[in-house]
Order: sequence, then C-alpha cells, then structure tokens
Amino acid sequence: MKKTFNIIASICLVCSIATGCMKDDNYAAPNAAVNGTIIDSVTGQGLSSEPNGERMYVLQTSYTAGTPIPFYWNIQPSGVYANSEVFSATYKMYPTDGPFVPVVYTNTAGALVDNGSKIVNVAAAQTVTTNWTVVPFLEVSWVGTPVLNSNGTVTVSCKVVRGTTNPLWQFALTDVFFYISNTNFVSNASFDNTLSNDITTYNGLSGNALLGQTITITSKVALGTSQGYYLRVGARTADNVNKRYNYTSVLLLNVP
Amino acid sequence: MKKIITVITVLMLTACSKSNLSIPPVTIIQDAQVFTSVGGIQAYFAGIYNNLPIEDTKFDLASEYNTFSFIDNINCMTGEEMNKNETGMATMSTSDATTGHTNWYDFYSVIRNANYFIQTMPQYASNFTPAQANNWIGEAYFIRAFTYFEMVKRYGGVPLILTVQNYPQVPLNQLQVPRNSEEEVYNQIGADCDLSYSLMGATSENVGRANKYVAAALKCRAMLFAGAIAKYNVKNYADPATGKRVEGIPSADAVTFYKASYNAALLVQAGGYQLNRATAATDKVGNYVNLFFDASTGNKECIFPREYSSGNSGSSIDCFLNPHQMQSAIGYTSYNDATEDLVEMFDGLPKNANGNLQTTDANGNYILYGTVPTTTQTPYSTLNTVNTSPPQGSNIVTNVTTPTSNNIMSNQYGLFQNAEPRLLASVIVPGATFKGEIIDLRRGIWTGPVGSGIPQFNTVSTTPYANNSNIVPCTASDGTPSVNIGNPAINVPAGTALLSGGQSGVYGSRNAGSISGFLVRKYADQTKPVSAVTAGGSFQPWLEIRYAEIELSRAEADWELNSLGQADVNYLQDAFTMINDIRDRAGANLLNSTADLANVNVIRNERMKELCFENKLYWDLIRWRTFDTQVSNRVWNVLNPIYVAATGQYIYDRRPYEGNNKFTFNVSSYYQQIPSSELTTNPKLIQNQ
Repeated sequence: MKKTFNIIASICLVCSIATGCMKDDNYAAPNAAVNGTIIDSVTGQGLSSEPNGERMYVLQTSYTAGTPIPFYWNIQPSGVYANSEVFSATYKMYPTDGPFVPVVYTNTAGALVDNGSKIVNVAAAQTVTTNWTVVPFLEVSWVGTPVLNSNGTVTVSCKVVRGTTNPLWQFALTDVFFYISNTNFVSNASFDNTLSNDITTYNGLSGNALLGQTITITSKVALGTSQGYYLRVGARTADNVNKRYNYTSVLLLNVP
Repeated sequence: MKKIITVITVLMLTACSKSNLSIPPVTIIQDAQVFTSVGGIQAYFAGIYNNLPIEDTKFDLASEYNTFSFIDNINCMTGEEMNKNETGMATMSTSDATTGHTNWYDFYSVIRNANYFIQTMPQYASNFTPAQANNWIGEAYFIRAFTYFEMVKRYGGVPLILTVQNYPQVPLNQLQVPRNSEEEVYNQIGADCDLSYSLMGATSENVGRANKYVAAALKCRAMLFAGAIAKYNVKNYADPATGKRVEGIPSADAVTFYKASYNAALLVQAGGYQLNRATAATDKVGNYVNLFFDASTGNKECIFPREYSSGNSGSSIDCFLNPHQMQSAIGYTSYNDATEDLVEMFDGLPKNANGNLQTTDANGNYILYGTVPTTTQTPYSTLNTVNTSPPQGSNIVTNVTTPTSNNIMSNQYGLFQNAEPRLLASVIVPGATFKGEIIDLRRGIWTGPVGSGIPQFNTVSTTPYANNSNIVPCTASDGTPSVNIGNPAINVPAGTALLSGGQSGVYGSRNAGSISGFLVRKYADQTKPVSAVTAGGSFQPWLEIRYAEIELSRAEADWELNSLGQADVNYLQDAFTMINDIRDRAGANLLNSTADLANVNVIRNERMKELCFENKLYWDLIRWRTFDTQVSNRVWNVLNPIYVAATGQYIYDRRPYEGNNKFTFNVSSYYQQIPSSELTTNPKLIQNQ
C-alpha cells in the first residue's frame, strides 16, 4: 500500500512538474495566400531570373507586440512568387536584390527612397494577387537561332541593350555569359563550365561598346551527341545591388 | 520515505522564498579578491585573452573560434588554398560551436569583461603602482578595440556598448541599443587604440599580451580597413529609425582613415619592430620558415602572438597539413593544398606572356623539366598505407611488379629550381624536402614516346587522362569508366617500381593526397616527428600581427593617399621602401623605382604572397570589394606533375581542378547577416541588406 502510494505520489509529482509550464499553441494556422508576378517593364513578361536571383521583402506592419522583423520570400526564376500559408495581417512588400532598378533603396545622401513598395492587406482565407513592374538593368534577347557547327560546337547570337533610361542606374557592362546546361534551370546558378563561355569580363567602361551590337558566342568545346542542352545568355553590369544577371529566354537544343 | 516526501515538500515550498542573506557567497570570487593582487589581475586577463576572437589555426568557417577543426578555413575561399571538402563558396557561420552561442553574443561577452575592468580597476588602483594600473586599463581598451574590429568587419555598424549594462537594475528597453554607424564604430576603435597606446608600457607583461605597440598595430590594421570601405564600398544603408549609416562610410573620410593607418604604422616602427632576418644572410628559406615558430621578444617581427601549450590548448594544424606519406595515426592529411593560382604569383618561376607558369613550348608540347633523374629513399614514416595491389585497366602497361620498397623519383624542384625563397618556405612544391624526406607527389606517369614531343592534354576537359594509353594516372576518380586503378606502381626504365601518384599525390578517391600538386608549408612544424602529430597536439604559436603586415598596410595606405592627391609626405617613395624591404627579405625581385608602383595591384599581390595562409586575405578581398569579381564562377588551377618514364624527367600539366568545384562570392556577403536570434533579443537591431 505504501509502495502504491509512493508510486502514485511520484507520478503526480512528475506530471505536475512536466505540465506546470505548458500552454497549448491554439493560434489558428495561416490560411491566406499571396501571389503575383515581377514584371519586366520592357517585355511585359515575368522578369527572367535565376534560382535565388531575387527576393520579396515582407514586413508585417500590423504587428504591435514589438518591432517587426522583415522576412524574405523566394521568387521563382520566371518572376512568379506564391505563398499559400500567410497569416491574415497587413504587410509592406517589395521585390529586392534582383537585376533591376531597386524599388526601395538608400540614396547617396543617406535618405530612404521608396519608389513603389506596397501595403498589402490580407484577410483570412483570402488570396491576394499583387504584381510589380520593375525596370531591368539590361535587356538580353536572342538574335536568330543557335547554329550547330560542323565541329560539334554551338554558336549563338544575342543583343544586349539597357533596360533603364535613368543614367543613375546605367552601370558599365561587365559580363556576357553564354550558359549551357543539362537542366532548364540554366543560369549563373546552374551551368556546365566546360561548355559555357563567358566571352568577356570587362573592366572599366570598355564593355559598354557591346551594347546594341549583335554579339556572337561559341561554346568552349563540342557538345555531346544524342542529347538535349538548354541554352541561355546572361549579361550583367557592375551594379551596386547584387550583380545579378539579366537573361534571355531558355532555348532547348537537341543535338542529334 | 515519509521523511523524504516531507523534505521535498518543504524544499518546494521554500524554493522561491527570499531570505535576507547579506553575507557574500563564498563560491563566487569577489572583486576585492581579483583586483588587489597581480595574480588576480593576471587570472582576469587570462580569461579574457582566452576568449579574444583571434582567427588563428583554430578558426573555422563552420564552427568559428577555438575549434579542433581548421579544415574548412577561410583561406579555402580566397584561392590561396584548395580543400577536398570545399565544393563551393561556404558562408561563414555566425554561431560558435565551442561556446554554443552566436559569435555576436561571444563578442559582447568579451566587450563586457573589458568594460567591467575599465570601470572597476580605478577603485582598486591604490593597490598597485600607477604604471601597473594604467597598463592594465590600456590593455582592456585594446581588447575592446580588437573585439569591435572583429564585429565591424563582419557586420558593419554595431551597437557601441562602452559601459557595463546591468539587468534588471536597468529596464530592458533601455538596454536594447540600436546599431551605431559603421564609421562611429571605426572611430571608437581608433580612439580606444589611442588611449591604449598612451596608457600602456612598451613591453608586454607576458608573451601573448598587448603592449602599446600592439595597440598601434591594431589601429594600423583597422584604420586601413575603414579607409578601404570609405573608398571602395558602394553600399549605402541607414537604419530608418536612427538615420545612422550602418553600411558604408562617406568617401570623403578615406583620407583621414588612411592617414591614421599610416601614422599608426610609424608608431609601430618606432617601437623597434622590424622584419626577421635572423638567418636571412645565409638561408632565406629557413629564415622565413622559422619566423613563425618564434613568439619570443627576440623575434622583432612578432608583434602580437598567441601561444599554446600541452594540456592547455593546442591546434591540429600539423595533422591537416601533413603530406600523406607522413600521415599521423588519426589520419587527416593534406587538407589544405596551395593552389597553382597562388604559386604562380611568386618570382623565380618560368612564366609565359600571360604570367602563367610556362609548361609548354611554342609548339604546344610539354617542356621536360629537371635533369637529375633519380633519388631513391626509404620512407621516413611508417604509418601510412601504400596501395601496392596490382593495377587493373586497359591503359596500364604490362610490365608490372609489386614494389618491394617505396621508391621515389624526384627531380627536386625541376620547374622550381630558381623559385623565390618565400615560395619554398610557404608551399611544399613537388619534389621538395620536408622533415628530411622528399615529398613524393605525382599525378601520373607518362609511358608513351617523347621523341616528337608530348602534346598538351585537353585543358578544358575534366577527365583529361581518360582513355589515353600513354599515361598511367593515379586515380580512378578522373572519370575513367569502371577502371579501378587506385595508385598503381609500374616499372619504369630506371629499374624500379614507381607509384604513379607517389605517396603524397592524388589517389584513393582523392581522399588522402594533395589535390593541387602542392602542399602548405607555412606554420607546419617540420621538427615534429610523425608519431607526435595528433589532434590538438600542435603548439606552435600563432602570429596574429607581425611586422610584415604593418609594412604592407603602410605601403597600401601610402599608395591610396598618393592616389587621393595627398603630398605632405612622399608617399609613393615610402611605399617603394616598404615593398622592397618585404621583397628583399623574401628573396623576391626588387622594384626598380616608384614607377613600378603605378598599379595598386603590385601592393595587393605582395600582400597576398606575404600573408597567404594567415587568415587575412579573406578580409582584404572584402575590404577591397574585389571579392565578387576575383571569385566569380572560379575554378582554382592545379599543377599536375607527371613523371616521364623514358627520360626520368617531369612535365607539368596546369589546368582547372578536375573536381571542377566552382566558387562564387556574392556581393550581398560583403556584410554578414546578423544572427536572427539577436534580432529577436534586441528589436532595435536592423538586419543587413
């Protein structure tokens, strides 16, 4: 009996200690959704980017229990973003870090310039679509179609022009990179460097002479046969944002 | 049993009650016990110095300070070293595996201890001479400055906490401080160094502690960093709440910072510091090798060392740097191998018009290097396992026997016979002697004809030796399909069996030997027998600041001041003197005149050569803001030595690493992210953009 009492007493003691500080998290799970597209102002299409190439700044301004800390959502290489588990609240949002004129930035005088952040009200169980139009640093486009040479290499032609007319954001052109990859994520984040060719890495302003010209680049060596390759050209400037590339569309080349 | 329950109950009931216990607890050491004796002060400083954030051979990208590991060190990100573990750019951790805290927390712990000392010492100063008390207070200022510099170079502006914060005496919201501007932090570091310089004596109380010249040296380092940020940084980000620029320094202030750095360098020089030339007159290589092993005051180059000892604290650097033929009982060899990109920066090497190592002639055939064909030696070390199994595969020649001894064929140096002494002291080149033994290092053996020249291998392919019947490469990992060749030994015409990869070369799935053709010699203790090499068993000192860095910093400040139009001193002439002092000691080619200093890269490259493997260049590339352009989709080059069986000579295949690991430094990494837990703790902190 005594033993039983001791056991029961011990169990009670353990239970009371273990549960003494517990509280159920009964806050409702997020059920709203926010999505949209980052649109290239020149083409009107989604901004062509790379995995991790740009992010969405999100600050929950309606949070009052303390100073809110911003968090960042990833944006897909096609310019689309989507988050299907968002708490109902008010958010300040803008795309950032990508190869476009910054939406929000600190100018040289140290003042914060806001050219288009949005306040997004998200109600419970609602889907909000919010698009941004951004001005790319560069616009890279294909000229003609890729040519498979007799020696097995591939040659492409492209053209690089400025996307922005504001001289403040016109930096020197530094790289024009012909990317070749086995996946359609082809970009600076994924390419085969034995084939891909960075035709030139410019210092100073000399790269600017290429703007508006037809640029022809050939792969370093012959491609393998009987397989498909994804091709893309990227170009970037010595910008002070993140030195990300602007890209052409992705082309699939089937080598017989 | 009842008694026990009663006792527990009583304990539980009283656990939270307060009693008025006015006697000081005997288990906690009180100020009066610490601040009244020299021994107490020494103990206080021992604790602080132990936690001082020095990036030594126990600093690691993944686990920060005071770790066993030096494997993932920051030199592997800059192109000084290659590492088989590193397949791409790694982000520096913001948490310390040893302490379990964020490094931010650890930095502020050191700062708090320094602040506490600065505040408390004056109350007890009467126990000591004024010189003693001042010296110690100055030392605390130095420690605070050192730690703030570690923070500002990572994060930009951080909150300046200059007095001890007390909680709960002061409410939490007053203790939560927003970030100061980056410039304010540098100014505080400069002011602390100045105060430290004026308060401290000329000699350190113990080896490894500061003195006034150490404070000046730190100032020289930090102000140069600030000057470079002012000149080269383009990021501009201010805290919206305070308006303080937490990223970046106004470019107008570059001159002020560079001048502060220059003046601090003059102070260090006035302290009698100079480059170590103990045996430079007769042996430039040995002189350079040994300067890293002398932390005594007799080494006038050594400004701020950290010492280690058995049973106290040691690093594992000898384990990680060891050539595979000297593998220690616990394994880990050649983790950090010098890159070809670094090696070819040095003087005394045959180079082509592009400044690259000259490996081929005008016809595109390999140049055969070396004239003395053979050296045979029995291995000094016995712990390593050499693969002696017969090789298999279509491209192995048939005249194979299993070797009875491990023969080495070396043309010592060959390509490196006239190399700059500093290179030979910093890097183990193929065929060099280390610990009295020739380092046996190859990528393979050329068994084909040499009559009409050996044509260059495909320089783009990542499998350059596959399906080439004229070469026996030493590893299957080069992509050769389904051929298990490991490290085969083959008969060469000289009459002995030769391991195709040597004993320290690339083989065994790239897990053991050098992957670049080179090994690191700087800081590797060549007097330590293999049997004594173990984890935590390396006690050579770490020279955190040495005079060569001060001269290089001064030369850089000179160059920048000259380029910014300053003419109060003949800065370019001063830079010329500094660089030539460095080069003379190194045995490198001297500059002819100040005209050779037209480009700042002359000074920067000198810094890379002199300070390689010392955990410094990572931060230099950051402050120059050249990291993202220099390290962009970069594959480090290797130099594969290949033995030519027919002649007993070597050819050298210079190529991008076959493992094809690409490194890219992202612009956004110029400022590190503040640990998110600290943002939660202090809501007034803003994250870096």
